Amino acid sequence: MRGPRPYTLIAELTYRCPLRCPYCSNPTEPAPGDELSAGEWGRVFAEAEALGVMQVHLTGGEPLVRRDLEALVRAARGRDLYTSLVTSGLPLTRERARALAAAGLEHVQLSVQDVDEPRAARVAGRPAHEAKLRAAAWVKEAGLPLTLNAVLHRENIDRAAEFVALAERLGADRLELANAQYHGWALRNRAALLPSAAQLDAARRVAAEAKARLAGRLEIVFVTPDYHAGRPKACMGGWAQSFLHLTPTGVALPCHAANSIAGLRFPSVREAPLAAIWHDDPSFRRFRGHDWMPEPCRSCPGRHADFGGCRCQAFQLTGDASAADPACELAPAHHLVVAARAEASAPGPARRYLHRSLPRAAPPPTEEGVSKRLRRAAPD
Amino acid sequence: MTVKTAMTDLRGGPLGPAGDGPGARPAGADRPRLAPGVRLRWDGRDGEYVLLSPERGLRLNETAALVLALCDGVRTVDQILRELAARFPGEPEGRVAREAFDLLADLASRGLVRTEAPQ
Repeated sequence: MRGPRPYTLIAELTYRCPLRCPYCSNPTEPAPGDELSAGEWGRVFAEAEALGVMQVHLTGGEPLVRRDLEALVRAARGRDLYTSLVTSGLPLTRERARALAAAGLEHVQLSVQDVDEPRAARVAGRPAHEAKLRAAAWVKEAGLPLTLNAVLHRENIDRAAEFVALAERLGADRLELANAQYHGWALRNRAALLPSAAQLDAARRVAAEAKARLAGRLEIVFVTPDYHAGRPKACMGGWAQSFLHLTPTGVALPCHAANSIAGLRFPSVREAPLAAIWHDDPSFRRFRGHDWMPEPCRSCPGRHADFGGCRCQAFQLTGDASAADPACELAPAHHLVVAARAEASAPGPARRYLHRSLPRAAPPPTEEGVSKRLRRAAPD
Repeated sequence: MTVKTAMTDLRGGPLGPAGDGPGARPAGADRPRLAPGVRLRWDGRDGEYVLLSPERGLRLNETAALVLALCDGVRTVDQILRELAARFPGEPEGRVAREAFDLLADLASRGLVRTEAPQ
């Protein structure tokens, strides 16, 4: 039998982003290093295509902050890759939407944080909603199909119907009502973000009704949070089975959060060919298939459907990346998820967010700054 | 050998139920075409056609790919079904047309084929 084939390349072009959403999927402590150049990405696209990749998602951070994005789109299309842009929409202009379409871009996924400016700004850390509405119009005007992506959480999930209405009004082709998953920044903000079971049920009903009503015109995708699922999701279709993820500095991962697992070292495309990484790197082989599984996964009939769930979640909640995904009712650590759910169902005021931030370069030392810091550090 | 349209998810997972809303059922006079952002691609590696769209890919066998290649926004559903029937004269009466229609209805309800006039 042949080995697994990556169909989709998730290309994180940068971690830079004008927004600071508290559920951002970027790492909480990104490794330093130079972003891959357009030339390096061109080589990666060629290697990815040779490996079997057919779709590429240009994402970030905010990919539009890369001035060479149009060249990257052309390079991807030059390899006949189906090319999507995943964006906040904030830096978009009408001219840039046209230029990207002319370069061969095939689809745009635009995030929205809520359905009006004040609420959206509370999540994004700055006003951006009105700019997103303009961006959506420019995407459609450029003739590109539009997916609206709304990350759902306890403060906005009750407005699922309003998200549907917004998607209809903007002429979107798809709407993703995707509940936040609790890794990285979202895990740090879990108490403020995780919805209750009642909220989730209501939103799921809204989505099902809209899906039936709008079939053929607007596709609705509803994503349940693992914490409320009972059984684990088939995370990434299995570890290193069909998705390949690259960070801005070229580190290859089986999923965006894999870097959070301590003890695994992931290789960079700057040091090895993509095919060698995909097929042979120990990190990609670590959780591939079923052999790594402990009980109760090892003998579970569900293992062929869910591949044991999410390794990153297992590590983040239990400290052991090979443990059963605590989202699963059968997992020894499932009580951690039950406790978080109970907390989410407790009434209470909105909690403060810890917004995503990027580590800043240290400011150049000035005499005033140094003496102030020394005073602060000095004992009384 | 019987002609049969076939479609599977690229990643081998379940295809999932098609939608079932109004506008999903094509009529004979509709002129179907691929929805924006949907394209047919030959996958030389596995020797199959793939229907690529935002976030997903569907493997099509040759008959299913032929049906979609005829969805050019000019031919009507009736014309497409007649052309297909003519291409496979050895098949039992109505069978190819029935399968092709079911495929179009399925893809239309998934939003991958559009039957309304372009905006």
